[in-house]
Formats: sequence, C-alpha cells, structure tokens
Amino acid sequence: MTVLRSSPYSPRRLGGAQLEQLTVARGPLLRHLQDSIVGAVAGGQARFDLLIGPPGSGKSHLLGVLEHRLRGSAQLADRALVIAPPEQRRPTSLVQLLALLLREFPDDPDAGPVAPALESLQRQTDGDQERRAVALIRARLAGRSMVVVLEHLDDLFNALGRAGQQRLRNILQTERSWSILAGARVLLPAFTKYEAPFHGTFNIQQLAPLSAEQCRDLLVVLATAHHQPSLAQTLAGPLGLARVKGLRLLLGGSPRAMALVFQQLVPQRVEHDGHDGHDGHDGHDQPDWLDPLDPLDPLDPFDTALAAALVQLSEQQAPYFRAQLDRLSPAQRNIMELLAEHWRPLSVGEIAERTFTSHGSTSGSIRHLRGDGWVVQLELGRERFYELADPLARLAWAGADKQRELNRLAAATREWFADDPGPPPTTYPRIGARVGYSTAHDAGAPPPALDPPMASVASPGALLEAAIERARTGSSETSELVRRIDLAWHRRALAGVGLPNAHTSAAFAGVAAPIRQVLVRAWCCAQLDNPDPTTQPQTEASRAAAAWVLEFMSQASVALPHSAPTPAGGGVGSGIRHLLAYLTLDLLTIGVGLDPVALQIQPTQTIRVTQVTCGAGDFGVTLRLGMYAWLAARRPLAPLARLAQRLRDNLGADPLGLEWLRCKSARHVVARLAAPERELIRLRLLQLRDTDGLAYFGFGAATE
Amino acid sequence: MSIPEDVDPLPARSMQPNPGGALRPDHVLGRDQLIADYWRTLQVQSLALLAPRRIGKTSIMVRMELLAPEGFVVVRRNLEGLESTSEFAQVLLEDIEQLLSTWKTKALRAREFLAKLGVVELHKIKLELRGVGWKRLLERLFDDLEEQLEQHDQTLVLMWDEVTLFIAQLINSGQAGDAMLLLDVLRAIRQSHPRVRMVLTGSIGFGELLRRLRREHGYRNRPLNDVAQRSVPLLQAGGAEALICALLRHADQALEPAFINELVQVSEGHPFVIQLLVDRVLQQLVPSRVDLRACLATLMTPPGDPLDLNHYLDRLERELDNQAAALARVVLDTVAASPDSLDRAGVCAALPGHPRDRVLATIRILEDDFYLRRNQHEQLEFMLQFVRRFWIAERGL
Repeated sequence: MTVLRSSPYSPRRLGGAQLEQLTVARGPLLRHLQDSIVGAVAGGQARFDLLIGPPGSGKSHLLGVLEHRLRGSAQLADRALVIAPPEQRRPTSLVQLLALLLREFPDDPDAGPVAPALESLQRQTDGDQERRAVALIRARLAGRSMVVVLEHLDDLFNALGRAGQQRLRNILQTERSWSILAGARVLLPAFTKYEAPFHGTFNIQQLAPLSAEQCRDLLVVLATAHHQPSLAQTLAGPLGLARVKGLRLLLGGSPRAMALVFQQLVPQRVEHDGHDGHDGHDGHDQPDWLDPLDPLDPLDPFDTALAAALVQLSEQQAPYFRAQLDRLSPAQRNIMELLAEHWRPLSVGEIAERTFTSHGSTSGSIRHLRGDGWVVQLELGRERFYELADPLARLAWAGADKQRELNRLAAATREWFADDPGPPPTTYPRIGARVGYSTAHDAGAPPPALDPPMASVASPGALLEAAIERARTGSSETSELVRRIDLAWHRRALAGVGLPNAHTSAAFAGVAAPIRQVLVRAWCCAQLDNPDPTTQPQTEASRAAAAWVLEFMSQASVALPHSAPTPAGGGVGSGIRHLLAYLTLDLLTIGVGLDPVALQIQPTQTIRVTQVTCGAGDFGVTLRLGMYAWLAARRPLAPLARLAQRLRDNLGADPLGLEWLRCKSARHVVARLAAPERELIRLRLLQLRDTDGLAYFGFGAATE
Repeated sequence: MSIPEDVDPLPARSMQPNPGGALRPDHVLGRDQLIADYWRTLQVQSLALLAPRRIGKTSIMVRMELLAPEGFVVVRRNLEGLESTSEFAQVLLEDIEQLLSTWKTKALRAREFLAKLGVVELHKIKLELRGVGWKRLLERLFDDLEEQLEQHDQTLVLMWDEVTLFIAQLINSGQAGDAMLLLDVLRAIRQSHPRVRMVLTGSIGFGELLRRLRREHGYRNRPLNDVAQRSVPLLQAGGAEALICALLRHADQALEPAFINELVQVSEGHPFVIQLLVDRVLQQLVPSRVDLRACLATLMTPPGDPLDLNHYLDRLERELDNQAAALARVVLDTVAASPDSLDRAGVCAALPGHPRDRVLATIRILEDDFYLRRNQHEQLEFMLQFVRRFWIAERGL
C-alpha cells in the first residue's frame, strides 16, 4: 500500500503526527492559537480566529494541526466538541452549514444517531430549518462548547451575503459557546469593516510567506519524510540554501509551492543519486527545453534537477490552473489568461485593449478578481497595474516561449544567489500590495540590518580611490574594491575618481587579473560616463576610452573558438562576475551610442565576446543583471533602449524588453517588470544601502 | 428588592485575552457600577443603551442578566438578522413561551389567536403573519404575560440586542411602515404593561433612525420618549485596570503599575482595544510598555485593521447628503484642530460662514453618531482621542 507522506493540496488527509512532522516555521503561531482557543473554550467563552493567506500559504495545514491538537486536549475533553467538516465541502447557505456541522457530530447514546435527525431536517419544508438545525445542534452539545474548524470562510461569507452573515452572528451571539477557527484566502470587507456584521469578531492572523531559510527547512523536512537523505543533505548545505532563495523568488514563499517543487525534484534527484541504476546527467547533455542561445557552461546536476522540476511543475500545474479558470466568468477568464500569458503587470487600459472589452467592464472584472484574491494591484503614483497573485499560475501558463523566459529568470536568480546571496528576499505578492511591499515586515519580522545609508558615509568616489590605492599596494581586499567600484558606478561617481590615465590594463599591472579587467572597464565607463553617451569625446583620456570600447565592440566580428579561455570566469567570485556584467552592459550601451551606424553586432560572436569578457556564464544573465543594475541606478533609459533596439535588429531577440524601455522613467519600467525581477532590483538597492532608490521605486525605504 | 452595588471590587481574576469573543458573564469586568445604575433605572423605566460597536453592550447585557435583582426576570435576545416584524413576533413568542413554561403555563391568548390562523404546532414552522397579524399576536402575548407576571410578582426585562440594526433592516427592505408601527406598538406595550421593561441596544443611534423615518416617511411620533437613553461609556480607569490585571495575570505577567497605567492611557479604557493590545503584546517575547503605542498604531493601519477607523470618514459620505457631510467634516476639523476646548457656541463662532442652526444640528448628529461627546463642562471633544489623531492625520490638519 502506498503511504501518503505529504499532500500539497489536501494536507488534512494526513494524520496528526505527520502534520506535526511537516510543520515548519509556524510553531509560535500554532502555540498561540492553541493556547488561546483552549483557554477561552475551557473558560466557557467563545473565540473566533481566522487565518488569512493566499492559496498554498499553509492554512489547511495549520487548521489540520490545530484540529488534532484540540481534539487531543485534555482540558477540552469533556467540555467541547471539535467539529471539522471536510475541506472539500463548501456550504452556500446557513442551513447547509448547520447541516454540515450536524453531520460531523458523533452518534450520541442519548440523542440517538445523527442520520435520522438530518433526514428529518431535510424533510422539513416550512422555511424554518435554520432554527431547527440550531436546536438539534444545541441538543447534541448537551451543554458542551463547540469549536468549528472551517475552510474557505471567504467563500461561505460571500455565499451568505449580509443577511446570512447577520443570522450567523445572531446564532453565535445567542449560543455564546460556539467558537470558530477558520481559513480564508482573502481579507474580505465582511471580516473587518465597521458596517459588516462580523466587524471586530475574528482575530485575524495573516500568514506571512516562509523565509528562504524556512522554505529550505521545509524541503529538508520533506526530503527526510520521503527518505531522501542525499537530497536532504544537499538542501541543508549552502548550495541548497542559495538555490532555494532563487526558487522562492520565482515561486513565492508559499509552503505549497515548495512542496510541489519537491514532488518534482524527487524523481530527478533519485536519478542523480543513481537509485534507479543510472546517472541521469553527466554534465553535458542539456535538456532540449533549455535555450540554446543561453548557456555554455553545463549546469550542476542539482541545478539541472531543479530546472527540470520547474518544467515538470509547470506541466503539472497547467490543468489545475485551467480548472481554476473554468470557475470564473468568461470576462474574468480572459483577463486571467492575458495576465498569465503576459507575466508582467498591465494597466486596465492595456487589459481592456488586449481583451477587446470596454474600460468599464474590464475595471469591474478586475475589481472582482482582486476581491477574490486572483489578482494583485501595484500602485505607481496614481497609476494602477495588475498582475497574477499566485506565482504558480505564472508557471502553469509557461508555454514554450515563456519556458525560455522562465529559464532565463531562473538563471538570473541562480546567478544572483550564486555564493553571495545578500539579504533575504521578503517580497510576496498579496492583495493591495504596493510595488515591492514587504509582507514579512508587515507581519512583524525584523527589518534587515542595514549599514548607515549612503548619504551619511564618505563619497563613493573617495572610498573607491582609497581602495584602488590599497589594491595597487596589494593590501586591499578584492571584495572591498569590487564593492567600492560597484557603489561608485551605481552612484555615477566613477567620473570623479582619479583612475590612472591609461587605456590598457597595463596601467593596473599591480592589480590581480580578474579585478584588473574590472578596473579597465570601470576606467572606460568613467571617461565616457555622462548623461549623453553620444557626446563627442573631448579629452585624450576619453578618446582613448572610446577607442578601447570600440575595439572591445569590434571583437564581435571575430569568431572566437568555443573553448576560448575565460579569464574572468572559473573561480571568480559572484561579486566580480556581477560587476563585470553591469560594466559590460554599460560598455555595450556606450559603444552603440558612439558608433550607431557602423557598428554591427553579430549574434554568436557578440554572445561569445560577452561571455568571455564578462565571465557571467551566459549572455541572457549578463544582460539581465546589467539591466536590473541599470534600472536600480536610475540611469537614463534611452541608451539602454538603443542597445535593445540594436539587439533586436541584429539578434532577432529582445532580451531587455524593448517595449518597457520606452516608458518615461526607470520607476515605470520597474513597475512593469515581473515580481521576481522587481525583487532582484530591491535586493540590489538593499545591498547598496540606497534608501533613496528604495523610496523612489516605492519599495518602502523608510521601513526597510 | 435589592439592587447590586459595585459587586466587583477588583477581584484577583485571571482571564485569557479574547478580542471579539463571546465572554462569560463573570469575565465582564469593570462594569458593575454602571450595571447597578442601569438596574436602578429599570426599577422605573425602560432603557436604551447606545454605543459604537465593540464598546461592550452585549457583554454588559450578559452580565446584567447575571446580576438581575430579585423580582426581575430577564429574557435576552439578539435581533440581528431578523427580516420582518412577523419573524420578530415569532421569536418573541418562543422566548415568552419558554419563560411561561417555567411557571408551568402557556400563552393561551396568543395560541388561540394562532389557532384561528390555522397554526396548531409552534416551534416547527415559520410564521407568516400577513398584514398586522404580528401586531395582534404581540398584543395577546403581552396580555398573557402581564397576567402571569402579576401572579408571580415579577417584572420582565426584555433585553434586545441590535434593535436599531433590526429597525434599519426593516427600513432598508421596504418595510418602513412596519418599522414605524413596531416602534409605536412597543411604546404602547411599555405604557400599558407596567411589569414589562425593555433594554434596547444599538450601534446605530436611535436619533439617526428617527431622523431618517421623519425625512423619508413623514414619521412624526416620539416612540422612545418614555425610555431612558444612555450612552455606554468607556471603562473608567479602575475598570480598565481590573480588566488589564486579569488579562496579564493569566499570562503570568508581572503587574507593573507603569505598564498597566500606560495600557490604560493608550487604550483610553476601550475594552476591545485593551483586549487587542494585551493579546498583541503578549505574543511578543518580552512584553514591554514601549511596544504599546506601536501596537496601537498597527491596530489602526489598514488593511485588516480591526478598528477600521476609516469608517469615521466613510460613514459621513454614506449617511448624509453632500452638503451635510461637508459641514460635518468642517465641524470635526474644527474640533480636532482647535488648540483649546470648544463648546457648541465656540464651534458656531469658529464657523461664521455657516448658518448657526445647521451647525448646531450637525453637532447633534455627530453626537448621536458617536463622533463627538460633551464633557462635564459642556465642551465638545472626540469620543476617542485616537480617533481624533486619526482624523487629524487623514484630513491633513
């Protein structure tokens, strides 16, 4: 017989001990709820608790754990009955709810079996079944309290309407010993608004997403429960954590998303572990879904397994997502399909245009979708954009094109968290969220520790000069120098730095090889770093820099062997790789600006040159990281748009998203990026301690 | 007949924070003096208890029932969700039948009336009394009742929770005629049955309902002029302290006077806010009084803020016409922003561009609707200071 060890969709099918074993991170909340409910009920009070969280956030799991704990409570043994209707039953009227509760009562030696009572209730046709049902429940409680564990309270309240909610409240106020512990996807006005019957009744706990560490812990727990010690060990290590951080960015911190990935990961990992008799990946045979343009370096087997798991997850989620969409009205379904296909936030006007509907009806449909938790709103000044609330839906919709996009995004997050993961991501899509809204902070999580903001320390240029001086004498830490250059580049302070007046890397002879490449590029950027890169070079240094950039660009016409050495690759820390990526993108934009007509970018060679010279592993990742850094630095969009246009003309590809680069500001572009991309930009700003930037993009600088 | 005095001299009780929950009568703390006062009033007349939501009206009624003096019998009923006067008559019939059954008797006149309508078995059917059948049923029911109360030397107190919500529901569902008739019938019952008292509660002010009936349906009667109307106050400092101590004692927290005092100050004696604050503070590893103001700020921050303070802004828009809402906002702005306390004349003087009568009428509406109150010196102030702070912030004053 197959033993169910975990259940991403129906955790309450598991036993109490299994649920406890799989519980991660919610211990304090569970203890609080358990103590509060037991204390109140044992003391003869009624209590009302409500867990709010998007699908997959762990509500059912917590309700299941609490149901078992309450049933096992010695304090409640003779005082209360725990009534927990099956989660798949969704009553749509008050009498249905009461009948459902009654059905869950155990047969009573005094009151007799439940079934005949239910039948008599069903036969009653005079419209007063509610009162009768209440009387039947009251009789069977025989003076005891009742704790009702309910799923989907939002659906129930929507179905009941105001009148039904008033009657339910009347019953609860009259009985005064019926408690409710419930879950709901969205925070309905009916739960909180002053005019609503249940205003102030429920103690609302909004389930925060799991942190990256907690996601990792959950995966380890799952691996242990599924007897995958090797996988558990990998996940528990630094590589596991780095990869889970990337996963979390793509999928959100929901326990279900992690459990689903795990399900897909297990067979891949079994192959890798050789449990089925062969090694599935030798490091050379790339799966055919990978973009042939993107990677040169073979993926680590664990990464391959993760990437395959994402693909499988997309495949598995598609019918589930489709079934969810089928429950919506045609107009709402159109909007969901558009947003799912599009991935990035859209305005009402854009949605209306693309679905061939009026602005008014689109607006109404979106309001309903928001109210039901399908869609989240992002605010940018007075503008509003909408995107899917559930990251899994985005994944489910990933067809061939989007699969490639997903792979690029996955590669970017993998690179970002390579070995210098930075502060933990805290963004999680939620109803009414602003761009980059931090739920973890909202839920009371401590803000990430930050050094003083940039404004309060010495200028980036001065810091860099000091670091370069130390580098020349060999006394500087490479990582410090990289950080200083990055900061100066971000603040456009390179131009003011007294870099050696030379146009070859020989000027930096005293500096170690990888960092020398960085310095040469930084020097060139510094010479040409002005608001208008098409301005003619005026000084000897700037002319030299321009020549170097054009020479660099002209290498695009030189076919490089596949096995060309990668001076900046292999063994270079992620900090240097990322900085090379940013500077390379900068040089490309400068190069395109300097010689917009003559310069031809040849697809393959350019990719090779970029890979070889920046060492970031693949072209897409280089461009993406560069673009995120460019946007984070609030640099002018025109040069980037020119480069994007050139790439589109010559490569036939649009890796930068030319459409968005025509927006009026970096803020607008960022608001139109997908949630994981926005989070990467936020993380970069956090790393640079750029509080102005965080505020500019609406990432809540003040609270970070 | 003995009226309970302050029977709750801060006993060493312990109870779990349970914001929004249904409390046991002995867990309702700090209200006994008030309740004794209410019972004194009920000796001679009926009572209307008015307060915004979550002040504790229901809890007070539950405890009043527990502390009912000898000679009084209480029947408590929540009227929220009732959809018609016919349904109201039915639940009243059920309640009174149950009471009479304790005296081994029945509501004979009421049953006779129903039998004429063909109803032979109660409790299993939903009555559909057409026309004013419900009124006749009520009249017969109280006739039955008066006889029994006389015989047993008891006074019946009908405690009806959410009466104003029920009346509003009738008006909103096109039954304004029934609503007006019900108000008149209840007054007539009170007048003609000296052994019947009523405690009517509502989170919507009666004044507002009557104004609406007058404005929209030409209702001119004064159905509550025989009822003592009381605004349920916040907890006095001693009562708030008793509640806070009981909640902290349960969590084995040291009862530090500074902490308790800060809680009293921050909560302003609002029992729901006290419950929420203690609940939140106790979830922290080291509960500290410095967290209290931050906790209150969280409670006031949307989305999901349990106090939903935005309703103070929204309600004006919803319940008043544009002109009246605008004037109400100006009055509230004036009271909120004034560095000195203002009485009604002071507010009128501060608003020279508005007719005095309209300003005074607006102040009356705002008092009825729990925005403002008058202190013992007749100075107007916000009923809750944290609402005043919210108003100042939201209105950019």
